[in-house]
Amino acid sequence: MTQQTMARPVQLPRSGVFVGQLNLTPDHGSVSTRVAVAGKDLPPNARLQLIWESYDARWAIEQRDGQDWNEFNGINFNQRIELITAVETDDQGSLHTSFVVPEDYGGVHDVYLIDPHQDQKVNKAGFRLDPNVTLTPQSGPLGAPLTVTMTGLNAAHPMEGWYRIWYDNVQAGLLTAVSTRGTAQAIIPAVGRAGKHLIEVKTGAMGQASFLQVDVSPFAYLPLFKFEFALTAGPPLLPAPIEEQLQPENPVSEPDSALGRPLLWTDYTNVPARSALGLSGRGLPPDTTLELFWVDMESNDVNEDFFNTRYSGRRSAIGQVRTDEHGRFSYRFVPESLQGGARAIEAQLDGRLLAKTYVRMTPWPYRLARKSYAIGDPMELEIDGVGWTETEKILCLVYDNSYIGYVCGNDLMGKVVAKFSATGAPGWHFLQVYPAIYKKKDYADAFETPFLYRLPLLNWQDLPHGFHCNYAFQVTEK
Amino acid sequence: MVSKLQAKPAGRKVDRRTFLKGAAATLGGAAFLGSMVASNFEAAAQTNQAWVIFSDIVRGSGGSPVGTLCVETSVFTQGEQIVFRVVTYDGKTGALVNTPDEIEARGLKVTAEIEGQASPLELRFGAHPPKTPAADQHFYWAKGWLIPPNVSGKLSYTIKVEDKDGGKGILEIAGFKDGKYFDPFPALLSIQKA
Repeated sequence: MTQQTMARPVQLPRSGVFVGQLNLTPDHGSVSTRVAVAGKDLPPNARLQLIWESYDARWAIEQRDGQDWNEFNGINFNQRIELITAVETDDQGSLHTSFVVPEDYGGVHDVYLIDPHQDQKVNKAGFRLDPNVTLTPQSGPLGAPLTVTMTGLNAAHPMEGWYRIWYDNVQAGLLTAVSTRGTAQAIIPAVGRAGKHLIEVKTGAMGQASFLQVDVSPFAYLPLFKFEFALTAGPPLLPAPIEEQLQPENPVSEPDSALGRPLLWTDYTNVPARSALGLSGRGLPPDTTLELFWVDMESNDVNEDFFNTRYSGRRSAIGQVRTDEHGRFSYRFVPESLQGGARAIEAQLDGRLLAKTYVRMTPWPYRLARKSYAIGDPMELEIDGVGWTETEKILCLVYDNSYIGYVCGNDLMGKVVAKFSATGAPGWHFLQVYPAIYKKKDYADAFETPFLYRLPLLNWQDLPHGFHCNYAFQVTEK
Repeated sequence: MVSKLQAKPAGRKVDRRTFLKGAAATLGGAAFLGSMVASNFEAAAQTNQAWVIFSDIVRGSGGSPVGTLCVETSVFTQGEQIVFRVVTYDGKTGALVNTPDEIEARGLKVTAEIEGQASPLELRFGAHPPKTPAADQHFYWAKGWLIPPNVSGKLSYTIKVEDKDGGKGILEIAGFKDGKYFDPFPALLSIQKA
């Protein structure tokens, strides 16, 4: 591979009348395709550079006080320029080289030939990075984790960046690759009876349902993917106990500099709801009793003002602490709040804020009430620590790879209780929980493509603070 | 024949949706409202440009078309003809300026500069489609460009409007500006090998 990243990103030259010809063979392909580059009628004996033009993308989430806050504003993009290789034309103005297509966002990338000495574009050619999907394994028992890996998703395009997985013609959820540079990976369980099952990965930008005639649309160039999976007999592969699926906690060391200002910090950046948490402080008034407060966010989601949700902080007293002669303290407690997301902790003296910090509360999923259910039995799935923001407040349930609905953490201040019914043939069944985006700040935009809302994000790591867990249970005749 | 869309009275505040509706109607109703029509609406407001531009592109009848004529498409093929279409609004009053008399009185000139190409295209103002009863025609600026065999990749171009008094409007369809991606529209447009 001849590609290398420049030490510092560069801007493309802003001008230049194209000279000669630049050809790429092939002019489209998936990640890792080797591309031959041929140029002719170019300036002779010129030292030039071949540039791969792309972008970086990230979810645009409102920022406040250094935290991912409430509003979802779509996706932000920044141009990214990478040097493929330095090239030199011969005395006839020809050049020949090749490169390997990097793992990157899909869609059309311009491959520029530039003259860095003259700061001029010399020519360019387009390469379409095609999406590609692999499925592993191709066979396995009930519950076997099927890994769907998709490359070449184009987050900058309304149609090219959004696919969905369908399992035997039911929708499992959406694949996105905004923060993962065009690559999405989802793991779904093998479900159903022994025998052949069909897994399809189809473009999914158009609302809740699949568009079934892409082949005759302006986007007929978008490939659709179809795999057969052989579900074999044998003992099922079941997910780990739910307690072992909690997100890992990230320990925090005492900050090394704060210029002597009052400072609070927690012993972890994130902890599951209902977990003990250590809080420390320094730079505070010595030998003083301070009040500690926990701040939740209350919304008016469920009212007639639905489209203009407002939030306000609600402070709850954690307790009192006494600082030592150096103005330090340590305190350990279990937050009573069940609300997830970035939670503020404040230290106050006589109603005056002295210091504030944040800890991120992550979901705490409960076990299912029973290990088996008769067909039609009511089921409940309970999770604490669900967030309150547009990107954290809802969780989607996928039952045997079929998306059945979502729950919202704002109704019960961080607790969700999903109610549904047991269905399916007697035997093992699988339930998965995925994050989703509730809505966009500009609600009208949410009706345009791509439609990303209230859909399970199967590549859940793509979304900041995404949460995912797996359950299995048995269904009986009676 | 004047377009069915009537000019707004001078001084009346016109919002983006009104602009979009007017532009879509004037471009013959072919525009996909709000997403396939590109505009310098926000930029013109922020930088006090004299002209607000609405523009789309369609497949022309020239060259070797590989699909339906006179419709928008996102992927063109070398050898096809791209037709640039433009309507203009007065940036101060919000009024559509789209009759032959108005165009002449304001001394408007509209060009399209395509990345890497030596000479800008000069768009012509007229009634479309040709050989159609006047009542069914729309006025707009247009110019076809035959895609050369050595051009591929993203289609980046700039529409410029200038009047006889030096008033200007600029619409950049370039995807990135100063390192920032600013409009999803260009992501739709590309040229592939024949």
